[in-house]
This record gives sequence, C-alpha cells and structure tokens, in this order.
Amino acid sequence: MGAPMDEPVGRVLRASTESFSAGARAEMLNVPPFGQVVKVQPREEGRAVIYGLLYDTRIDDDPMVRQLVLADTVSEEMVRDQRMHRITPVEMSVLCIGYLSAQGVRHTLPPHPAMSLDAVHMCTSQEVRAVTERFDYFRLVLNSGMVPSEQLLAAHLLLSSETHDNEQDQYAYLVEAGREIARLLSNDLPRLDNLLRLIYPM
Amino acid sequence: MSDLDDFFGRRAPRLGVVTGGSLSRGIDVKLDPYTDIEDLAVGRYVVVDGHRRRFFCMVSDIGLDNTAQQITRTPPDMTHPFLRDVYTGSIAFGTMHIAPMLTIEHDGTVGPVRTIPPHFMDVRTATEQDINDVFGEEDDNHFNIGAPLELPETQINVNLKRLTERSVGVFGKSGTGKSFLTRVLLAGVIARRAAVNLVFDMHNDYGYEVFTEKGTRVKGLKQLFDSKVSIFTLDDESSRRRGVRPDYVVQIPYTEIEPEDLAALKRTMDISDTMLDAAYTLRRMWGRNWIQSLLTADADTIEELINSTSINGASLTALTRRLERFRRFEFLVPYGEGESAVETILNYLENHTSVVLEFGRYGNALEAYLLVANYITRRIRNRYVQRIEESLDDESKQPPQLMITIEEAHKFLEPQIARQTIFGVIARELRKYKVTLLVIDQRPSAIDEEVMSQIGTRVTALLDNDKDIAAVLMGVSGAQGLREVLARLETKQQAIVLGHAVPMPVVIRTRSYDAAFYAAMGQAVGGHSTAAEARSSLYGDGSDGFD
Ligand SMILES: Nc1ncnc2c1ncn2[C@@H]1O[C@H](COP(=O)(O)OP(=O)(O)OP(=O)(O)O)[C@@H](O)[C@H]1O
Ligand SMILES: [Mg+2]
Repeated sequence: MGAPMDEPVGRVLRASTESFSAGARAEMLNVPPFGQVVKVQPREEGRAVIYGLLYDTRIDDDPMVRQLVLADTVSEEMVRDQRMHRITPVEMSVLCIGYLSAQGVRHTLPPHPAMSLDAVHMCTSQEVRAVTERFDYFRLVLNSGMVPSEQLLAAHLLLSSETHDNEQDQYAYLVEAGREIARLLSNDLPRLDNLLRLIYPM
Repeated sequence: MSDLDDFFGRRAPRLGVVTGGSLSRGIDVKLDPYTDIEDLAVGRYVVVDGHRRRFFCMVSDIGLDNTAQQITRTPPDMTHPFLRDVYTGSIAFGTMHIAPMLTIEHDGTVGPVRTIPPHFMDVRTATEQDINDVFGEEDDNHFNIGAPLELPETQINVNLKRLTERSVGVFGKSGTGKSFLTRVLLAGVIARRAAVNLVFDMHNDYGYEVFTEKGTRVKGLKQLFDSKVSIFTLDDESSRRRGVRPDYVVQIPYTEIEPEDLAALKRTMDISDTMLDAAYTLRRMWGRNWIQSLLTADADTIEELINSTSINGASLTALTRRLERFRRFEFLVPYGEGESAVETILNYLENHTSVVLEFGRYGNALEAYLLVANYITRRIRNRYVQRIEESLDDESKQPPQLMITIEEAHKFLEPQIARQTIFGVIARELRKYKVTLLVIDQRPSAIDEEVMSQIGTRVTALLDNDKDIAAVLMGVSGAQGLREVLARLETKQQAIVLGHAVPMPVVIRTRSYDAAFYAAMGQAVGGHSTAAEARSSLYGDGSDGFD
C-alpha cells in the first residue's frame, strides 16, 4: 500500500451525521479502495472516533486538466505536475456505520458528525476485525438511499474477509455475513441472490 | 466435579432454540444453521435448559421450514457450496418437534411435565448425566435392558417390581427380537427374584439352547440359572433330541379336561356356543369320562342322547369331530396317574423355581398350545386365589408373585373370547392375586382393548401396521410422537419401552443377549463374586461354542 497507516488518507471536507466527504491530494496510491473501512480521528477530546465505509471517490476536473485533455500530447512530466499541483482535491465519500464508545464499537450513527479537517485514516486489520465482528450495520448500508448498497456491501465484505488469517476463517466469515444478509433480505430474494453471488468466494 | 465431568462438560452442543409449542402438542424447535439435520433422528433425547429445571424431551418429528415462501418457488442454486451454506440455516432451516417427557429439578428430582420452557431457550442433545438422572442406576430392583440409541454407553433400567406387579406386553413384527427381548426380561426377573415365572414356550425359545437366525447358539434360561429354572415338556422326544433333560414330562388326562377348557378354543377350533352347551351337558351326564365316552360312543348311545337331551345331532357330531383332533396329541392320556402336572408345577413355583414348559412338536398346533396353557393356567390361578384368600393377613404364607408368559397372545385375548378365558381374567383383575401375564404378540391390535389397557408395561419392537401401532400406544400420553418413532425402529434389537416400569417412554437398543450378558447374570445370582471369575466363565462359555 501507499503511505504508512498512521498517515491520514485525507481530511474532512464536509460532514453530516450520516456521511462525510474527505479531500486528498491526487496521489492516487494513497486513496483507500471502495468498500474499505475508514475512521475519522477527532481533533478534540470528547468526540468519538467515527467509522465509515468508503463508497465513492471523485476526481473533479479543473481548468488545467481541461486544457491538458485537449492537448495533442501529454508528457509524463506534465501528468505528474498536474497531479501534484491540481487545485481541486480528490474527494472521498464515506457512509458512517458506527463509532467507538467507551464500551466498544457501536453500530449506530455517531452522536456528532465529523468536523472539517479532522484526519481520515484507513483502519488497520485489527480495527476492521473489531468493527466487522458484528453485522448490525448491514441494514444501515442496505437501506441507505445514497450509496450503491449491494456493490458497496459486497466490496466491503470481500475486503474485510481478508483480515481473517486463513481461507477457512475467511469462508466462515463470509457465510456468517451471508446468513445475516439472508435474514435481512428474505423478502427480496432476487436482490439477496445477486448480493450473495457478488461475495461468492473464488 | 469429576475429571470426566470436566472433560465432557455438563452441556452438549446446542441444536437449536425453542420457538413455540404447547404442553399438549409438544415444543417447536428451530435448528441452528450448524445442526446437521441428517444427524438427527426421531426417538432421540434432547434437553431444554429452562431457567429453573431441565426438560427432558424426545424428538418426535423433524421438518424443513423457511422464512420466505418465495424460496420454495425459486430454489437457490445449491451446487454453489457458498450459496448452499448461506441459505441453509438462514432462509431455509431445519425444525424439530419435541415432546416433553419429564422434568429434572436442580436437586436432581425427576417429575412429570406440568409446564414448558420459555421461548428461545437452548435445546441440546441429552448427555449421559441427563439419562442417568432420569433412569437411575442399576440395583436390586432396577435391571438394565438396553441403551438409548445415541448413547450406547448408558443404561436404561426397568423397575422390576413395577414390571411384575402388572402385566407386560412384548410386541413387534416377526423376527424383530421379541423372543430375545423376553429372554432378557425373564432373566432380569429371575436373577433379581422379582417374580417366579411360568413360561408356555411355544417354540422352545426359553428353556435351553436356542439358535439365532444366523445359526449361532445362545443359552437358554436353564443354562443361565440352573436350579432356579426347570424345564417341563409336553414332548419328551423333542426335548431330548435337543439335548434337554426335562425335569418333568407333562401329561393331561382326558378326565381332567372340562368344558371351560374348551372355551378358549372357540375361535381357533371353530367351536360354537351350542357345541359348548353340548359339552356342558355331557359333562353333567357322564362325569369326568365325558370326552372318552363321547369319542367311543356307538350309534345307539348317540341316538339316545339326542332324543333324551336338548343337544342336537349336528352340534354333537361337530363337537365329536373337534375332540377327535385331540387324538394326535400324545400328551393327552386316558386317565391321570400320580401327582398331576399342575400340582408339580405349583410345587416348583412355590419353591421359587421358574418353570419353562416346552411344547416340542406341539408348538405348531395352536389348539394344543391354547388348550394346555388355558388348562394349566386356570388351575394354577384358582390355587393362587385360594392360597391368597387363606393367607390374607399373613403375607409370608402367600405364594410368590407369578408371571405367566404366553406367545401368540391375541389368540387367548381376542375380544370375542377375552371375557371367557382365564387370561382375560388375569389381565383385567390387576395385581390382587399375585399373578400377572407377560404376553408376546405380533398383532397387538387383535387383543381385546380392555385387556390391552391393563397391560402395565409395553415393550414394542418395530410394528408397521397402523392398527397395531395404535393399539400399543392406546392410552399413552404423547403417543403422537411415539407413533413416528415406532414405525421407524430398526428391524432388529430396537424397541420402545413404555408404561409402568419406566419413568417415561424410551427407545432402546436392546441389551445384547450374549456371553457378556451370561456373565452378568452369573454375577447377579451370586455365582461369581469377582470380575475375574466372571471373565473365566465367559471364556468357558466360548469354548462351549456359545455365541
Ligand atoms: N437382544 C438381542 N441380542 C442378540 N441378538 C438379537 C437380539 N434381538 C434380536 N436379535 C437377533 O434377531 C433375531 C430375531 O430375534 P427373535 O427370534 O427374538 O425375533 P422374534 O420377534 O421372536 O421373531 P418371531 O416372531 O419369528 O418369533 C435373533 O435370531 C437374533 O439374531
Ligand atoms: Mg419369537
């Protein structure tokens, strides 16, 4: 991966209780993958660490890019330069799925939203394990109108399963998660079947 | 507690949770995803851990259910192992229905079920500890007759006192192990002196050496208990051919046979009421010689008889023809001599020696079996009644508790004749006169209902006829669940025991009747005081060529 884990992958641009966006420089290597669990580390005491799933990464254009795409040739150097110095950030959208309370991870929306410029980090494997130990946030993901919920949950589960040590545990994890999804989607079997096929272990 | 407890733990893995039900219908259980439905079986024991007590239950049905009806119309692709694993146990899941049988309180006391466990309590397989809490340990009055199906190391014990104080039925299709089971029960009763036995041994199954279906030899009761069992025979030749040295050859003088003795043969020999009336008339007129006189009467005597009595010619001829069939029974002799067979049998019984009466070749003649069993039983029971009424205030003078074993019991106890035969009387009069029956039958539905309801303990191997199943389960609470179990027993050496002698209906794999059993019986009668002696006798048996 790119930067060391304690390096933030971005800083909060905008936030609401349900979601937030983070901005980063366009050195793409650093941007977490779709479905990854990330966390917001509050700057002040008294606000909780917020966990979320990265559901969208946006790269907006800027006047410089607009010019460059029209040019006949674009040299390596120009691309690197543009990426280093572009003035609009890469924007990552994150769906909040819980926060860290005194008792541990809670899968409810956080009491306070993230604040601008709070640091956003990738979660470590241990943190991912702690956050995904229980499946109480599935419903939140599946019911959220603003995210591609099936794709997101599937990508998230495949990533999370990798935090388990061996293939057997990874499989068991996916089966357990699958059963929870089955419980939630028992009234919409086509959607369930689709989702299960997306996480079918290879 | 003990290391074993630490090792096994008191709890077995969870199978599922209680989801509904009622005391009368039984409890519904949703199985956990990881419970393999193919590992379950009706008849197994499970325990529900309630808040204050354990509910000891039997699996009575197993089913499949789903949370989304739609899935039954568009079943998922089960060739994907992942999809299969996810769907089973979530949307599609297993269920079972369990019948609460008993409760075990915290202090270990076992009691009847008066309530059910609350919602969502854990259901788990019964452990050895649970079984022992319910069925107790083997002791002077508790005899091991087998093990529950899934726990072969545990014992199911019958209470011998309760077994013998009311009648017992052993049922099952042909070849399911009735005779073997009966031998085990009789051995227990004899070894623990719970009662003295009189066995009408139709097929020479109980006294001496018997062959199994596979052709190996097993021991008879005489070989296990020697002086506590004696073999009587109706067919000396057959007994000797099989290496038996009978203690007594039973003969019955024609002069002793009374019309009442024919009543039990009404159906089998097609004897009508008018024929029976004729028999009574002849007995009155001619006295003890009535049968001989009739069989040797000339035409004039018959003519005169018809003219001078109410007997009609046709009935008389018919009766004569029936009685002529007795001629091929060589155990019937013209006149009695010396001590009668009945007296001898009674003497043995009073000395606490069980009597096995072998029928030899007459076992194939149902008339002979019915005639002799009725003849002897009627007289013995009369003597018992007399003796007991004489000694009502002094129990020490009373004869010992007696259990009489008959095969093809429905022939004695059919509804049409149950009221007229002595066996019907014994079955219905309860324990007052210290005589009870052990009836063996493959067609329990043919037995009179009232008689059936008086059979305290029923041991039944596989039955596949619905009427027979219903007959055996008549009057048993929670019978619905047992029905499924009963129809699905294995074809051999499995049985359900229910009624008076066990705290709850129980499915067993019948204790094997083999060298280990002989050795245990040797110890039980005090023949072998140490395990080493028992073992050496066990090897001794082996060299005798016994199984
Ligand atoms: N407890 C047992 N121990 C050892 N073998 C047994 C036992 N029970 C049944 N068997 C086997 O099953 C066979 C049949 O048993 P058995 O003769 O007792 O059946 P049954 O019900 O009396 O048959 P039938 O109706 O023909 O008299 C035996 O020969 C024996 O091989
Ligand atoms: Mg038999």
